[in-house]
Amino acid sequence: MKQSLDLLLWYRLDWYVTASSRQTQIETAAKVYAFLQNYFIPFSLLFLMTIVTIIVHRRMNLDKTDQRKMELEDKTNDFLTDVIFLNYNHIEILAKIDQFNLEVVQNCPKIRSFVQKKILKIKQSIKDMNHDRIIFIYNTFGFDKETERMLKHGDWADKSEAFEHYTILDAKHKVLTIKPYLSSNNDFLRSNALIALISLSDQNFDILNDIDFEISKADEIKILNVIYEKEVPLPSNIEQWLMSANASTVSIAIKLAVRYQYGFSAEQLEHLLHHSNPMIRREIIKAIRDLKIDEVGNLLIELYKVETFLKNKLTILKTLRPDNKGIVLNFLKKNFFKETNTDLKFQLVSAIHMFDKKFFDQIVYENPQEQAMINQMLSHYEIAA
Amino acid sequence: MKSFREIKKYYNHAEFLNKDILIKSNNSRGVSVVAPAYNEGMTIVYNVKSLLSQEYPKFEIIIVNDGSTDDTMERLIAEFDLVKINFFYQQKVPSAAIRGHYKSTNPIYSKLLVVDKENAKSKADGVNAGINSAQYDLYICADVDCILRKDTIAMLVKPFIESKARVIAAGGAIRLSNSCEFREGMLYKSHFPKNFFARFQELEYIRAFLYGRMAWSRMNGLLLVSGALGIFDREIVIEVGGYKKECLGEDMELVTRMRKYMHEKKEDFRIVYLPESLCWTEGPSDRTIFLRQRVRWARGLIQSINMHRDMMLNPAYGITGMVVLPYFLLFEFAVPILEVIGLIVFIVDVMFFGVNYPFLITISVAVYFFYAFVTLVSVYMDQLIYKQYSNVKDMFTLIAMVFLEPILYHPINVYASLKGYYQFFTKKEKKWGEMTRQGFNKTE
Repeated sequence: MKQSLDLLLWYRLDWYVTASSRQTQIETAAKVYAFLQNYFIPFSLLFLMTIVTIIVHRRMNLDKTDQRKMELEDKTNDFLTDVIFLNYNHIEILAKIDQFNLEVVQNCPKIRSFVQKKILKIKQSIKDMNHDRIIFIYNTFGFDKETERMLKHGDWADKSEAFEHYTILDAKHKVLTIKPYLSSNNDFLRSNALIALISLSDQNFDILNDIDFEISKADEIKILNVIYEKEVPLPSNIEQWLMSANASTVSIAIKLAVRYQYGFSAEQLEHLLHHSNPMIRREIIKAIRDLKIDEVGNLLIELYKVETFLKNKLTILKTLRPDNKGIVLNFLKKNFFKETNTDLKFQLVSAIHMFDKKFFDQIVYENPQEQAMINQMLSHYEIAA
Repeated sequence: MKSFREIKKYYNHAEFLNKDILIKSNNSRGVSVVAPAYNEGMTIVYNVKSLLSQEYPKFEIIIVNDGSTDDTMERLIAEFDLVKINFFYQQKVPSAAIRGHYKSTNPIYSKLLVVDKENAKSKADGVNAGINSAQYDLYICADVDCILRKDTIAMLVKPFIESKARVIAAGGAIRLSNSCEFREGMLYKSHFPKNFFARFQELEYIRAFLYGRMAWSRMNGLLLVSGALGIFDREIVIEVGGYKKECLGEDMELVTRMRKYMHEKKEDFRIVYLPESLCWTEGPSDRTIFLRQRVRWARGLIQSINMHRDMMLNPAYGITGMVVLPYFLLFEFAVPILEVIGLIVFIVDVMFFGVNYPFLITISVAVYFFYAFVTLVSVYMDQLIYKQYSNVKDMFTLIAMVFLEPILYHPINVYASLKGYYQFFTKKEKKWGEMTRQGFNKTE
């Protein structure tokens, strides 16, 4: 037995290596062993003890830290409420700020940052407050210089934060400072600059006239949010935007048009329905539906015949409305019989059902499966009706 | 390092599209939340109400009653005033026969759709029925017993809107709800689980979500978006044929297939992970259920790898074929086998050939310390980001678990993995099994 096992060992060891290689392996193993014993294990132990200490210390101090944060928050809230809302003159405010700096801030950068954020939050949250007073307090603390420093010397995240500060403080005089960042290669910086410029813009939002890059979906949502929050009348540039070469600008313009119940002209509708960008075509079809625009049945039918995007075709079917001459209904009926795509068929059933509830009573299908499918589609809509 | 940088990048970009803007916007993308339910009578009403309280402007909740044999359906009908409706159901992806669709007569629950279907012995089939019934382009696959944060939908939708490349799936961190306190469907206080298995699973989740998945997300190499909470591009899922009910690891298999499809289409895509605790789910708290879960996962893993072996080391499939699948084969599948082989070789050496004990102990200690360091770093990152546990004692327990895991918990996992592989290779009948629910710890 021992002989066979020895043979096994011999084969196991010599299958791969020659004698010299074996020696190298033994030396390497010894080096590894020494490294692990003398360096890796001691340092690992040290790291482990350090990280356990940090975790425990952090957690144990968390309650104290939270308590201190709450106290700081209370003091800061009391101070800011005092200086912002009570009738102090500038000299009194200066004195209050000096006292606050001495007693609370004490040159601590974290507390300064906390106070800065508080002021910005108050400015952002409360409308109809004394704008000049907030700016005075902000500048007296030296936060304007801090924001400038972030813009000049910070990374993209700092710069973006600086934009946000200017937006909150309504610093229109900083528009020219921010504008060059529209050409930045950093997508996030460019995006944040655009949103800041929109926010600081007057109610015409002229900045959108000249945008030549694609505006992302995220930015579109943010831009619309900014415009809605400003509660201004429909921007006068809307006609220019609807005809813009930049599809992103057109998309924003269409959404604004829907929001403000804008009356599209026939030329505009024709231009947009024939736009090369399928997303724009879809947007305008949805706009026609949302605004309940009549007398565009022919245009939609013509588009349906040449449209290649399924979602757009579905949107057209959802948008078609009854007309006096029955052109739309005839078109729907014709397509109903030819259409093989189930999604389109389902939508055609819905559209025809809206126009002529008795239409399907008159039809007999040769294929019982198709009959069953149509019946199921119809019953879906009957309950909805 | 990769996971740390991805987390840092995530928080630097967090305000890029504030979720509050999405919640207010009429232009947000619609989302269908699909939650299959099988014998969830005890908690179904509570869970559905929690799902309905999501803060998002455009969503629907689709509960798929997957042939429950208890009173799940009855409770739903009673509580939500459900009536059977005619619904044009298109079988875009395969699913078992549908008995009916139900909607509420109460306008408060207008976002709720209940699908009653035959049981096909697979959660995958339930989700497929939900996908077929969904009206929106994005769907979230969630376990019905999960508690979601109120802004879960908004957070999961964000990558789809922010990313230039097409995002086809996204996931978030999942935590265990065992021992946590909930009020009105929301997390009130987080405690470290008291149960033996739940404790180690919590640790495992911290390490997996913060370390593993964030690193894979950075490399765009995610192969797994958890079935408990994941958001998917419905169009792509339908194109690839939906979930396969014969797979036990249906979530991983679907994502693999989606990746394969996108590589074949040569279209740029991303699968993203968010380092946000968005979902709390009840973990198995007894040995039988725990082992069943782990055996199923192991079996699912080898099943997925086997089904897509044509992608392995195939440059046509980019990072998926060249890095991700080989990683899963060598470091996920093979490791339990190698561990057991190593143990056998050790025993044979002890018995017949002799062992260099100092060297063995040194290597073992080095590996143990390395593992502990990696896990403790994840625990530290977890504390930094989430400030998770409400008392100090929980923290000490968690740290103790870190050191006990390789000795107490890991061998059970290895056993479960090997059992799963054995069942796969011997083609044993697949079973999901039932999860015994404790329910959520609701405070008065």
